[in-house]
Amino acid sequence: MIAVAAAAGCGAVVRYEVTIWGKKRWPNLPLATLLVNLLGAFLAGTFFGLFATWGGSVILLAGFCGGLTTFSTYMTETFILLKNRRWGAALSYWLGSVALGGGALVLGLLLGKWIG
Amino acid sequence: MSTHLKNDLAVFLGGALGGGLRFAVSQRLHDSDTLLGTTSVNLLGSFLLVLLTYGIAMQFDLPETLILALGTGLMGGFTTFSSLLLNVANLLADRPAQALGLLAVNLVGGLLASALGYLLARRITHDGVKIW
Repeated sequence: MIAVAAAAGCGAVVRYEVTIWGKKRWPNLPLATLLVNLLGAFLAGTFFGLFATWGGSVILLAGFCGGLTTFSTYMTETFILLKNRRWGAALSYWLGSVALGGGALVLGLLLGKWIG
Repeated sequence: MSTHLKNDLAVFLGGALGGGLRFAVSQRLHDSDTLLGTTSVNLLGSFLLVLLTYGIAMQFDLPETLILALGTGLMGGFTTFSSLLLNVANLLADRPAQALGLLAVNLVGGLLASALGYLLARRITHDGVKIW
């Protein structure tokens, strides 16, 4: 429990740092969140492929990847794009995150199983 | 302590608390079989993050470090994208309708929860004018 929480805290700090960098690079698009979510989905797939049967895998999965990725910011940003009537960007971000995230997860699973 | 380091620490503490709460909820609701843990934290977190960002933070003029701890840390760590996708993928083979249905509940419900949070935030701040 403590280890899962600490790993989630570490994931959140990585997300925060990537967001600071991403907001400078893409000031008007939520691409930093997309980036951490795709990275987190890929890592979750890899860790699951490698360590699914190991009890401590929750530290990496629910902990680090769970803290690295975020759903609330993803929804908030989609809502703000809609509110600002940026329909195309909102729809692409909303559905694109899931489609690309699913792809990243599968790639990670394949990599994890290939290594492990 | 530099501001940057202080903010990192705030995000760490918030993220650890949020992640710990999510883990506890997920275990209680048998999340890997039902997805109910991830779904509930994601909907609740989407509502609370917008309410915090557009309502509470403005209403009470919270310092940036506290907003980061509560928003980026607590709410960001409480909700999860990776566990949602991983659990949907794991459930897909056995119960595809349930897996895709719950994914849709997260995506549509999360947006509705954000919109609801925004409406409530607007009431609190009365279009930017503090009423409390």
